[in-house]
Amino acid sequence: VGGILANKTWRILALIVCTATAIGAIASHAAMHWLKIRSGYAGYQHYGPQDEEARTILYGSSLAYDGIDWGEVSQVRREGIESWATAGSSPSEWEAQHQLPPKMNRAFIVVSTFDLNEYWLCDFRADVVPLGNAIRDLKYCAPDAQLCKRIISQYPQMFVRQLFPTAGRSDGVLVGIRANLSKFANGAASADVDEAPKFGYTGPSEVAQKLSDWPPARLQRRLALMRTAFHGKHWFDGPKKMALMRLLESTGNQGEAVIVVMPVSRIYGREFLSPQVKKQFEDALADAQHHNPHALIVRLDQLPALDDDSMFSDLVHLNMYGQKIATAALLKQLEKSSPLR
Amino acid sequence: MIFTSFEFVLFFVGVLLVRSLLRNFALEKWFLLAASYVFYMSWSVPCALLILFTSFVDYAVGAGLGRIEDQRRRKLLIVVSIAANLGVLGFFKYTNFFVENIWLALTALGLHVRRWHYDILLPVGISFFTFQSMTYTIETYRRNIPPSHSPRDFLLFVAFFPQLLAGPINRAADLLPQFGHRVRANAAEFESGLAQFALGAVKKLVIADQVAPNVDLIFANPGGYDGFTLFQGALGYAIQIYCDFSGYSDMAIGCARMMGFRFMENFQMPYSALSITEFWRRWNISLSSWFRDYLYVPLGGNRKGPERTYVNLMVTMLLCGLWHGASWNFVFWGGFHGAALAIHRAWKAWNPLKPLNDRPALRFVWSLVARLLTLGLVLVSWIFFRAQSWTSAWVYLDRMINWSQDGTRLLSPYIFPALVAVISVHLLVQKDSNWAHEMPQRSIPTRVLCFASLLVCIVTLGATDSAPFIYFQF
Repeated sequence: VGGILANKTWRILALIVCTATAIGAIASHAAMHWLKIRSGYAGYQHYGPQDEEARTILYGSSLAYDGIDWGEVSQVRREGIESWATAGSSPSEWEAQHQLPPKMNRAFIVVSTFDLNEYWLCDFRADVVPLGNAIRDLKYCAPDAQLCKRIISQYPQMFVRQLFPTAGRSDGVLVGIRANLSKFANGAASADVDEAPKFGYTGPSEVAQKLSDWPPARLQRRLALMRTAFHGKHWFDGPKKMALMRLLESTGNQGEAVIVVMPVSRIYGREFLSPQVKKQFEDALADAQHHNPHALIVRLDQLPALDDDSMFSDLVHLNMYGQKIATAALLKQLEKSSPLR
Repeated sequence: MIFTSFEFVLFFVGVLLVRSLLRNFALEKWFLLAASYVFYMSWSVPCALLILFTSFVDYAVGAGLGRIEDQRRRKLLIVVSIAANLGVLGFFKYTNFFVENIWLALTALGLHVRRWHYDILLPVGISFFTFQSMTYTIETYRRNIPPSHSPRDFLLFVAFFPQLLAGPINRAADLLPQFGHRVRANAAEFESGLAQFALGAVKKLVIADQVAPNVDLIFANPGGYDGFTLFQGALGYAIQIYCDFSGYSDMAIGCARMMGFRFMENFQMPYSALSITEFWRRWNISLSSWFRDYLYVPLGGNRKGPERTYVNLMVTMLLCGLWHGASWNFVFWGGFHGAALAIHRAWKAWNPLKPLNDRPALRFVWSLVARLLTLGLVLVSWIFFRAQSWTSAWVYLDRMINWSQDGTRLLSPYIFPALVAVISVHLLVQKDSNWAHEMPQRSIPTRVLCFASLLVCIVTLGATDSAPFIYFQF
């Protein structure tokens, strides 16, 4: 390398590449700022009186935060709930990310066929799950080579993102560009642009949008994006299931574990969840439950009232109407299993 | 390991560094050979044996052709080479196709036989490395090149990793001599290679991979969309396949150039062609010239009268279609292009518009019409190439041409910007020049700006999860 750089033409080329890289990095950081793309992965949430120590911990992805009014749960159950919200997260991230509070007495673990799917990868996985843990789980579960590659390649990407934070976030960039263009054009965001889940907001859902009102084209586009994201495949027997088992075991040692199974929309179910896939999901839940047989399972996915696309704001997230029903059903189940004195 | 993955970037940087440290030329070639097999084995370990088999057969045939003077025995040797290569290709790629069609034919005749299907793995890149290897034996047979005296060089010629999976199909006469002496890229070659690699990555990650989900969606259910959406889907696929395949070729050529090797160009603005003949001179140049030199010309080419020329064109293109895949859709696609080439040839011979060539305004209008007509033909042919079945292709075409109003209207946010980008480049850039090769001659600010723009495109708009290249399946 030293010999090469002694040559003037090579020195000029090195200068050109370095300058271009610097410009690229500045542009990438500017795009993150301008398009308001989330780069931080965790947001601390506390439900209930702020001065009160939380003894309940919540593990979940955006489906949990959109689908249940945890503020209400905290108020009714008279218990502080804390959580670290990470978009698109799954048991793999929850396990690595959360320290159990010393005096924990309950843990809510909110899962669904969407976020327990091994092919759906959290964008922040590499930031949260140490590489050693990822390799250990992959060796044990032996998923297909494609999935291994996807998981492992998130780690070099994490370093690339130090320089180019937009790398691998083209969906966010494109949605951001469309939203900004719509604002410039109409002064308001287009109805066709999806809002990112609001982390840090602890009140009841204000999302009134219904999946049943979506125009077919928008639905098709969203389905295409989703199919691309997890390659149209579902699998529930990999690292996420292992992490769920360990999570159930560790929480079970310290208090009560409540597994809440969130519903997904009928359209999602029709498109991606074949009877075999559903059976695999049930098997995974049953396997996980073996690690904590005392865990309470709340099957919100089996509520007939939520088996309706008008209860969803998109393919997997409940809207404010769905949230009301889901919260009431969860509270009812909790009351039945451990009545308030 | 695909060119757009992190592991390839690490692999390639490693190859460049180790190679630059090696002082012994023979060791350097062994290293490149080992790296090429490692690259291939990241896809499939057992299939690497096939490359070895093909290489050893063709090397032995080449050595025989160099020794033997008797024309009958030479002919026998070349038949052995062709049979071995096409036999391998035929077994892995076409067995199920032929068995299925024999079953269909027997069933149509009223004979009830068991339906056979074999689970045969299609080795990635098989169509490319067998064709490349055949260029060596055929050229040696024709005495255009001397036989190789180094099995290592020959193995490297067949398996050299930048071109192994999807071409360009290099000629033995061009590539083999490059392994005979030590080549190193100078700064200008390295820069143009880097620019071509980056341009290929933009084509693949920013255009092809972003357009793909919407195109897949439309082609999956052509009966569910209106005519406008179907037209958009066809345009989208035309862009996707061009950017995917030419992107791969650019990355392959760029990689080789960064190491000091030169590959033949594979694409030269094909959608700017004024005729279908010109389109084939600009699209997948290495494959079309392979078929021209090793099939069309030996069949007689255009030397045996117009009728025979049309037949030769048709045969060549039908086989070119079949080369792409074991399906009648590909055969039809090839036949469609063969017919278009024959019609264009007949039109050129007749040429009733020749007097108009003297008037610049009319010439301009005609060039516009010719361009649109060529694009239209290519667009229609892509429908057959991409559709999941024969029936699906006809449904697609019928609904698109009749501009069907029923069905969902889907406006893709990706297809039209991609279309504008590709068409403007085709219209604005000098179609015979190579932008990447001219890069080192530009001013420093221009070069910085070009590299920065390519980089910004990749890191902001590049697809999150890159799909394998379309041509890997062929």
